[in-house]
Amino acid sequence: MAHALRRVLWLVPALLGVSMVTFWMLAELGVRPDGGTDALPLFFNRAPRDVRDRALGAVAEVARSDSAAGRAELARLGGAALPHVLPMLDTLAPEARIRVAVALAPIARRMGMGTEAQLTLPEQAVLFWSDFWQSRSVDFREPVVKRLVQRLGQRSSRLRREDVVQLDTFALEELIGSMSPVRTDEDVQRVRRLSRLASQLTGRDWRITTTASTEEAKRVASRWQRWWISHRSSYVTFHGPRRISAMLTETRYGRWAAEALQSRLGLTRDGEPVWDALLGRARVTGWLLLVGLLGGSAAALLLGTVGGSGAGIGARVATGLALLLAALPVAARLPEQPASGGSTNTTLYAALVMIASTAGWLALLQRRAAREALDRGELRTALAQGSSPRRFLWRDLRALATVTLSACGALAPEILTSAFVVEHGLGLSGLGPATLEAVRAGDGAWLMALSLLCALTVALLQIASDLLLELVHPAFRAELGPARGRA
Amino acid sequence: MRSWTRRRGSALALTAIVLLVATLGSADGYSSFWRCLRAGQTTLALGAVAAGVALVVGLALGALAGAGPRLFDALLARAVELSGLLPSVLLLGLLGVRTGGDLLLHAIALGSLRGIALARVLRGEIFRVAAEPFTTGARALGASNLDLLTRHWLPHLRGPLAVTLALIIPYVVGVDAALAFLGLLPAGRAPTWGTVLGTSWDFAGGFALLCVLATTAACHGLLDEPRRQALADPGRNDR
Repeated sequence: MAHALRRVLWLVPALLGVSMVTFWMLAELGVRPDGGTDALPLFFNRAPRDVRDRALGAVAEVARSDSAAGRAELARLGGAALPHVLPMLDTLAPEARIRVAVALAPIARRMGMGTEAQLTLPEQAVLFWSDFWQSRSVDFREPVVKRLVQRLGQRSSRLRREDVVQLDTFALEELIGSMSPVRTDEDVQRVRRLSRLASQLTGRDWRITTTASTEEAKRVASRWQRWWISHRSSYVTFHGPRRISAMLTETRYGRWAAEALQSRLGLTRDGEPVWDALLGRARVTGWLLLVGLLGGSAAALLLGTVGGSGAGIGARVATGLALLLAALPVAARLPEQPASGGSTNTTLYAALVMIASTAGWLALLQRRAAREALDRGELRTALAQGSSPRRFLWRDLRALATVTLSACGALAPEILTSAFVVEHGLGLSGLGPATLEAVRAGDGAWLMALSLLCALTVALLQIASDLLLELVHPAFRAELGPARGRA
Repeated sequence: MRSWTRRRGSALALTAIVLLVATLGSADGYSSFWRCLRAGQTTLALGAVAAGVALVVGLALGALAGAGPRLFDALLARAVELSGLLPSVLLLGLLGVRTGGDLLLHAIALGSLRGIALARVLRGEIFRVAAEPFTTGARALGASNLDLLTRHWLPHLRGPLAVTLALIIPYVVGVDAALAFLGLLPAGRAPTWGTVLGTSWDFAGGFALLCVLATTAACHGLLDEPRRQALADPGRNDR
């Protein structure tokens, strides 16, 4: 039992390792489970780019050639870029300073500040931004933003809204962070106010009306939070511990992990949380897996024990049947055209195919164990004196079952393969058809979630198999117990 | 009398095969018989490589997990978890896409997956025989774990090894049939009995199935049965 508990505790790091291996494998195949398109490193980002790097890059571009891309980037970064751009304005050459100041005009318009002349005329634009930074730089601090967004969340007024709007995208982190939790009607109204402002700042129309339900508010808040995972680096400065954590989070794996935690293992292509879709379909596949394992093991025990019990007709038939089951591929036992699943006959047929697909190899292993048990010296003496071999085998079945129990812990990947083939062949709506669709469409989120579920199932089956082995054979208690009984 | 019956059986089997070959249809400019022979060549080569890999992986991992320090047991557990991160057909399908249907890599992957499952069985067998009186006796005479493994435990592992190696062809065929059935077979890969079986149920499919059954029975007869008889009656060859 202690061994099993230790194994359960090991599950968390094991699943983490499995998720990293699957992620790497999918990345090698060109599938992006994080759903992004940026050229991010896979697991470790030595130099995560934050708003400062992006703003300085855009400023350099605008200063050098007044490029449209640089201007668009500055407008996109918005207020979050101002604490990095405005203090360095004076250090630029006069021409470059004018270009940058004019390029910042879209931000000022979004903030509702300045006249058109102040923003677009070269000499006035530089003066406007110098004055702006002298008078407003104290507002571009985290505690101030936090207080302003909290006030807006509690009650909306024109003045409170304007205070936040004048910070532009600098307030986005706090705005989106304050959208959860969503439980009461008051929370819904808070999400309505904050999402309206976030929409205004980013140009994304993810808002709710005054009559929205809690579910709608939750959905919109979750949408904003998922968007934030992939766009955070454009609006936030990484410094201190944040920079260290960004080395892990600003990677493809980090973004997938954040998204998985945020929205229950990510979203399917239809927008449904993967976890919900997986659980809905896992019932059919889980049932097939269970039938395959339990039924297959039981059939293997029976066939193997009968097959190994002598040279009579019963033993020959059992051995022949085990060989036939082992030799027939699952796909060859199914109709060529997918049937319309669901009826009792289909379910029974699926169960039989699953049992047959598992039983072959196990039955022959079991038969071998039974034969070897009968070859023991004391049993041969007893058999020579007329004892029935079957009587011995049934008496020792618990000890003989160790072969089947050992094997079935590692057979899960193959039984799952059989389950997928059966679901495809019989038109059952389990994990199989959805997974095949995910493979064809390159749905990384689904494949990641499935691999975690499979690895968890295999690990739990191994633990169950070891527990059963400890129960049926004293040797396993000694080997798997706290003090391993070996020299 | 017995010899005559055997000859009659062989003649009937030969006639049946000739009749079957004569009635086989043709497709893509090749007769189904020829397609099955070519597929058989690939299947047997795949099976041989996969068997070798399964033997090495299974024996090494199983022996280390069963007779080595606990760390190796934990490593085997992790290896099983990794082998189960996706159903084997998906894992092999994705690998096929990545490698453009490279048969050698496919065979190595098949062998590794089977080897890991075999390692679990061998580990269990070692745990079982480690508690037998002969192990205690050998230990009392000063045998080390390595001596025990090579001289006393390995003969007891030959059973599961023989069964697994005997069933490697149906395993290869089963996975290929599943890949073909689910439409995950990489384009342009050489056909095997499995792909013939998984694609359609025509003459070639039926013949491929017969070939699989015959090969399985032959492998079982060659690898498993003689060993058991030798164990059951050690003095048989001396008489």
